[in-house]
Amino acid sequence: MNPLLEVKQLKVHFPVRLKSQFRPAYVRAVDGIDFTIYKGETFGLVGESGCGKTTTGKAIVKLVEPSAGRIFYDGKDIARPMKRAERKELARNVQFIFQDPFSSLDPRLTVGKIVEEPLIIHGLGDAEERRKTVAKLLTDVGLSADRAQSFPHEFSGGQRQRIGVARALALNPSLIVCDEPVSALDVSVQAQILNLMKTLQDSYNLSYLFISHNLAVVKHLCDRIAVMYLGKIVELAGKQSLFEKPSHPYAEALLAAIPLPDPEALMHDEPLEGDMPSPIKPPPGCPFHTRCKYAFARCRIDEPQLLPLDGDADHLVACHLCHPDTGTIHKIKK
Amino acid sequence: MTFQAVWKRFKRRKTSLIALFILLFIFAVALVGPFFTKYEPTEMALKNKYAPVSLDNPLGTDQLGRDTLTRLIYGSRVSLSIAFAGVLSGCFVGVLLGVLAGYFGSWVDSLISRLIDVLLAFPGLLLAIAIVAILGNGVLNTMIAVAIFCVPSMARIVRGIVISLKNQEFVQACQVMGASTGRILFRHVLTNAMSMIIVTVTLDLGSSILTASALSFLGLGVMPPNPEWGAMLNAGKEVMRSYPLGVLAPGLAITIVVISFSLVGDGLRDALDPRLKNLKIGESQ
Amino acid sequence: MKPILKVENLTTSFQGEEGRVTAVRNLSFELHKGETLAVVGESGCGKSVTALSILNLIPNPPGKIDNGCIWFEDRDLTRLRKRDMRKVRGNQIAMIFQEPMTSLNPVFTVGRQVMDSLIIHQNMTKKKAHAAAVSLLTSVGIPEPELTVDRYPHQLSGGMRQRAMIAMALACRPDILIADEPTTALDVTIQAQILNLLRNLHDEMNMSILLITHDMGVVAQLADHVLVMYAGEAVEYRKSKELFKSPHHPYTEGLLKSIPSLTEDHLVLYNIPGSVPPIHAEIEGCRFADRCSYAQPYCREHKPELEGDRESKVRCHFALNVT
Repeated sequence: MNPLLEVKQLKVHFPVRLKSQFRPAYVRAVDGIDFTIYKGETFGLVGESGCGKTTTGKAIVKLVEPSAGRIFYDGKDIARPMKRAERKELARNVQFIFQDPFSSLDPRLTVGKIVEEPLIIHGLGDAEERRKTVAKLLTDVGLSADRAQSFPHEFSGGQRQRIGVARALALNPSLIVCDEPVSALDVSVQAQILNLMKTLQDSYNLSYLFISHNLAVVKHLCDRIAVMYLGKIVELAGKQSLFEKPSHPYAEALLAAIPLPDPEALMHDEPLEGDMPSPIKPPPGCPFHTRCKYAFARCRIDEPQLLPLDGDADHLVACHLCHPDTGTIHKIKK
Repeated sequence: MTFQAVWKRFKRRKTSLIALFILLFIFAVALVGPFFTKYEPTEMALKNKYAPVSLDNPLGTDQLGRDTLTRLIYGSRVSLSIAFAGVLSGCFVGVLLGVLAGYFGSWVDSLISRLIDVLLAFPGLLLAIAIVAILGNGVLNTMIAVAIFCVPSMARIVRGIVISLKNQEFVQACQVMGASTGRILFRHVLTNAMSMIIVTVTLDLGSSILTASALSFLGLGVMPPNPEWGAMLNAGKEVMRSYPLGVLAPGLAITIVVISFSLVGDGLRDALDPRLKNLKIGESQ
Repeated sequence: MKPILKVENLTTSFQGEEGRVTAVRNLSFELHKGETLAVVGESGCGKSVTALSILNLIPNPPGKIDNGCIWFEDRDLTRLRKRDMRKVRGNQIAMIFQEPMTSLNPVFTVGRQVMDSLIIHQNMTKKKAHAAAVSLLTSVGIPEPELTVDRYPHQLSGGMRQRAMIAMALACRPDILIADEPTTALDVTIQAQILNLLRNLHDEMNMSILLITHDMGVVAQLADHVLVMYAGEAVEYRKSKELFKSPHHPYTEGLLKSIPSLTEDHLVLYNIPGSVPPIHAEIEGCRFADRCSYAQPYCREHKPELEGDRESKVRCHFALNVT
């Protein structure tokens, strides 16, 4: 398999001014992550709010500037500052689907104009060709082409998200970064959009970077999944492997925290106490040690590296407990 | 949002609708009125001074025997053109500064915002007086004073709108598409800010008629014998006892126009405000 | 057993751009002592309007309760004077909202806001109320309650704010707690904490909870009974365990089947085609017929009623899984 996108030691730090300090502090939104997306796959990025998953997605489409690290698309570094022509070239290959189906469409443009806009920006086709392309895109996402003259407010949330998908598809990209594309939608509609995304993946030859807080959705759609916590990837594995054998204590807790739609399967214990620490002053050592019930002395000083679990190069975990070279202490399963 | 939809909502507020018709009537008078008057605005007839209300002089004549209705009609041209030219040019600059400050942020924003702060620190009329005092009086300089008077408030309003629009996802979506800054600003940011700009311009029109008249009344703006409403007030106040219409007529004209602009502005705000328009019913999310 | 809260034929409507729209249509249900009843449905189904109607908090205008009674302690809440309603609100019926940041007043300390209802409703002295506030914050699991009592809402995390809200709501030991999407704005691990807390408090205080949510997972974790709403109407009322096992209404079935599963793998997710009819649409037959895979021509012409016994009701001509 060929790597389509490689992220290497990506860091995004935002300056914030604290009242008590003269020098600006930094929010370490993304703090050194590595992953690779292969052609045709769906790569999931999960975690709770503030873990840096959205920032990672935005850095890939250059909506935020990386502070350090590299991002290679098809072998070319796209993390450095770019000229407009390069930026446009990137836009034809990598697109973005936003979370909010309401604020992501310009309320004053018709749906036809919204979907046509990327074609105009890139000077693709004349007016008649563009009209045809728009009609095809709208049909492909399950809307009728004669609604091109309607305004976004005439559509429901799910239909608006379809319009957002059509706009992202207009330039025929290879990779689409999807930032929580279904979290603002009702369940029944969510299922429609997820199915649509799967269908389009085949017909348009797409790879997805799918960002979500919802593990069930990620499990349904993704081939490989990275779990993020406090700006770091704590576990990265294939879907089967991750859900059968979640090895990082955080991934385990995250899975246990999901309320199952089954009254027979009641949760009895709080899977995790406390809150995520501030990304302005992340704790030393393992970022998760403040909430981890297995934490021991080394976790508080020494930051664990993302290493293969039991020699399996496709299942990476950043936890001292999972790596036998840490010696003395082994993870005690309940 | 289509014109029809806005008009439909605007019509609901009767006071604004009446105000709009009054304004349209006054515009029409200013435009074609001078073709129908019997006199010239500066034509003196000393034998006929203080003439009472009659068919020849519907509003009487002043201390120099000039026909007050004629002067009022010509005066509306002067007052309205000062207001329109001043406000439109001032708001153009204000929008430009606001967009630059809001969209680019950082040092551009700091620079422009401080400038706005300085301008806003002066009371409005005092600022206008200061400008006219520096530039000298006359119609053109009054326009400039009115223009500068409009800049800071417009710039501040537009800056706020642009900052909130800039973070909307549809603007980010354009960036992801590789759109140029100009396209984003003109096609998405400005069009979405337009309704607020239109409302502000309408409200500014009212207040700048007041400012221009005040300047002229103080003898700083348009100079006599030019028939500007404020200048007419000034001239009329000397002989208020013997010829009260000389004050009442321009005074009422100013009042009616200012109130009408403000009512139309309020009506437009309600008609254009998307928040009131899309009143969400059902879930309180 | 007499229900603690009984809603009868509640109809609530709002004045919209194009005439009045009915958000809740002819809704009836009962809430018993110590029971947790979940009202589930998707956005626009009228579940939040139901909650606000009970507390008489519908903004009027544009909203209005057109019809129906809400019986609480032999009084009809819809006909209560404002003064009497205020005594009920926060004291006997309390509410927690989805967004703890906007529902707490940012200029007062958390403690002050918890104390307020104690001082108003229970005539406590300030000192006593302060002590009570500290113990309330302890009971909802806020660490360092003596310090937190003097903190402002923005100094707390989302989960802590929601705990503070719950403490406020529970201050007067209400008979009924209305929880409107109490965990929707929270992360999963925090949601698990709050669900756990609600369950424990419910057991401890034996209060009735009216849980408004769209999340079937949350329903399964907390509810004894479930009322499913669709487009302003109740379509199914069942015991939670039975509902999840064998839904009667096609909409409930669709809702359950469209949730991506953590335990099974599906290539294609089941989904309900189309979208909810616009709120102002007047539909002759069944309001769900257009999206229902079991719909017959009969369904489009004849409106089904909510029928069944006390424990199980369904609004469908061709109810599923019924023997």
